[in-house]
Amino acid sequence: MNDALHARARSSSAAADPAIELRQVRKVFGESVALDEISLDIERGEFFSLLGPSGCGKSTTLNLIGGFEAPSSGDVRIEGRSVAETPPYERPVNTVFQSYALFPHMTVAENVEFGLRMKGIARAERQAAASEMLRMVSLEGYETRRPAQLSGGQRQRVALARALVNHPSVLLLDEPLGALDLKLRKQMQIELTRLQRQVGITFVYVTHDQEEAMAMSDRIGVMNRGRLLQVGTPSEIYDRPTHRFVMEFIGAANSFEGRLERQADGIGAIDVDGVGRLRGLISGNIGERARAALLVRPEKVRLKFDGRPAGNGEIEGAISHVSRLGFITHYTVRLDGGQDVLSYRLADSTEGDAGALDEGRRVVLSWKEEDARIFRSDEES
Amino acid sequence: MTAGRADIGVHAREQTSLWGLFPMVVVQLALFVVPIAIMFVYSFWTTQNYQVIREWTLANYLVFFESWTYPSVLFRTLWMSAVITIATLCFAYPFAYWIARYTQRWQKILLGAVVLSFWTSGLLRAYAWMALLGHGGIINKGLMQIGVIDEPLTFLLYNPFPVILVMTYFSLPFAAITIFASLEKMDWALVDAAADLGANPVRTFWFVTLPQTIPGVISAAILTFVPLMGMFFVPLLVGNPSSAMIAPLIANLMQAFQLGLGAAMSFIVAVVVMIIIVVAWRYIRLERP
Ligand SMILES: Nc1ncnc2c1ncn2[C@@H]1O[C@H](COP(=O)(O)OP(=O)(O)OP(=O)(O)O)[C@@H](O)[C@H]1O
Ligand SMILES: [Mg+2]
Repeated sequence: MNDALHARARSSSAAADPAIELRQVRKVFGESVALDEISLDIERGEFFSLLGPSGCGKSTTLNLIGGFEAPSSGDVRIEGRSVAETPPYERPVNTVFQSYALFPHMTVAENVEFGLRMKGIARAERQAAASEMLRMVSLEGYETRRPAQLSGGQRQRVALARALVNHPSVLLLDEPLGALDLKLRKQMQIELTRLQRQVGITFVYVTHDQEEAMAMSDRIGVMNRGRLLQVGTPSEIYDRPTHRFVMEFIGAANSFEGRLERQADGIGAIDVDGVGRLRGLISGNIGERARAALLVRPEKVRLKFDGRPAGNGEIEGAISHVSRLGFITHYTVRLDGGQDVLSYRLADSTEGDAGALDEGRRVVLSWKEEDARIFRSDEES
Repeated sequence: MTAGRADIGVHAREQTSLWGLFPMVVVQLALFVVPIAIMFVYSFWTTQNYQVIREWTLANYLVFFESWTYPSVLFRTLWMSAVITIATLCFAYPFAYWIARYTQRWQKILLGAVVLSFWTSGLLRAYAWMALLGHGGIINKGLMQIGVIDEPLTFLLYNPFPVILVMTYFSLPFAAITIFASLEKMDWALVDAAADLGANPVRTFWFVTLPQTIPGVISAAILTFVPLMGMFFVPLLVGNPSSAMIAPLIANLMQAFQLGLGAAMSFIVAVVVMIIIVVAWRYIRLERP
């Protein structure tokens, strides 16, 4: 593809600087802090997702990069150049807005051509570019329609075409699939990742859907309450979360509260009332005997239906609920202390006697100590 | 984007609750249709020695079109109204834009102040302007005091300029409120989108903001223009006495008991105004399907 070559040539020519750099960026609205000292590098050609709950500052971050808001302090750089003085219409980025923001009084073709028209590109040339871009997003033949005559998914693709046709250095996408139904969303996720590989443009993708971020991204930045907690590949974020919030926000986790007792090699143990002594990897700085929380993912919790707990981290309970979801089965185990623990098993698992794991059955739970993580429990985010 | 669906909703509601319009129909009949009808009838009658002669004739219309005198008054009024309307829009739009975009906490107070100006007597404000613009008015006195001029400026009163100035000032609140309403409805993300796609503020206004608010601008233009066709005391107070407007002329005829001619003229004005409204209305309809 011509476009892909174009983009790749550019990204290799000046590969030294990241596509986007945020340097200790703060954004304050009146009294409230929307972004708190965000520092982040986004590499060229990367599919980077900003993930976090509603109101955590994802759109604000995009607005700072796009130039629709100015940072209260700190610096935003695009391809090595500070853009503090650059208005949005001079930045080499384009945006797919949360609401798409298609111009209702223009046709699909006029919408897509708008950016090229502003650059002063001749009519014939921009018509050709727009129709090629519309073909790329499978919308050929829709040129003369108005946005009001399109479905949600089609509008989304027009918004994408309208941004991509300008060959921006960076494409900002603010929950572009948020308004679509589940099936269309899955389909568009695949199309978007394919398109991103094809054009080689850096994507900064905002979502509050962790599955979407995991499925599409090269790297993810997890945000909460205006702070950037962790940046990493999907598997780093999932397997080695640095914050309790990250672990609980991305995938499910069982948690136990207690006081930390440090042991060798970064391993700690906490004593949980009525449960016993549980072990896991210590994350971050936690004082000896400080209150801590041990978290372990359900798929790491093993179930044994026979035998007694052997003492080193094994705990006992009775199955209180079973839901069979096809290839995977969710077991809820009520511990003798009253707490519920989730455990996921593949349905064809040969471990133990799967058929006998029914409600009321007494079982022993255990996990590898490196599969559980211990965080400060007073950590607020 | 949801315009299509909203329209369907409006149509459905129109059909189900036609009876809800009943009071409005009564009011329209009483205040609009009946007076126009009476006027229409009178325009075919004549008067002699303060007596109405109830014989059907086109004499009044012939008198109007016979010479250039009366049509010229109508055209002057149309022309002045058009100029004032354009001047009003030129001031109202930036003002409305500023209120809609850049005032948050003050927005309600500012809008309140604008609405409040509807309630102050127009006559009073016209006299206030005369005090400002007159020979011994504040402007002339001030300018003479600081030595910019030696003699009072004469163009400040009794010519078209003060009429345009004062009528623009009178029309401003209506137009500003109307344009504000359409700016308020607009999706401001469109403005961001235009900037994102490389449009500087001027081009953003031209390609996005103005097209998006054009129905509001046209409504404001009608709301300004139509009452201007009836402007009465301002041209009498600050205008040139020899270049009359149509409404004072009609009032004169009526006072002189030329009821038929006055009614014919009124009816001609009403027809002209209605044609303008219909054309503008159709334009809005075409713009926003
Ligand atoms: N213009 C503004 N004025 C005041 N507060 C604002 C403004 N824009 C955003 N905020 C606040 O900043 C915080 C972050 O908002 P932001 O829109 O970035 O959230 P988000 O992560 O995009 O959320 P969502 O997923 O709901 O879109 C919120 O608490 C919000 O209320
Ligand atoms: Mg948002």
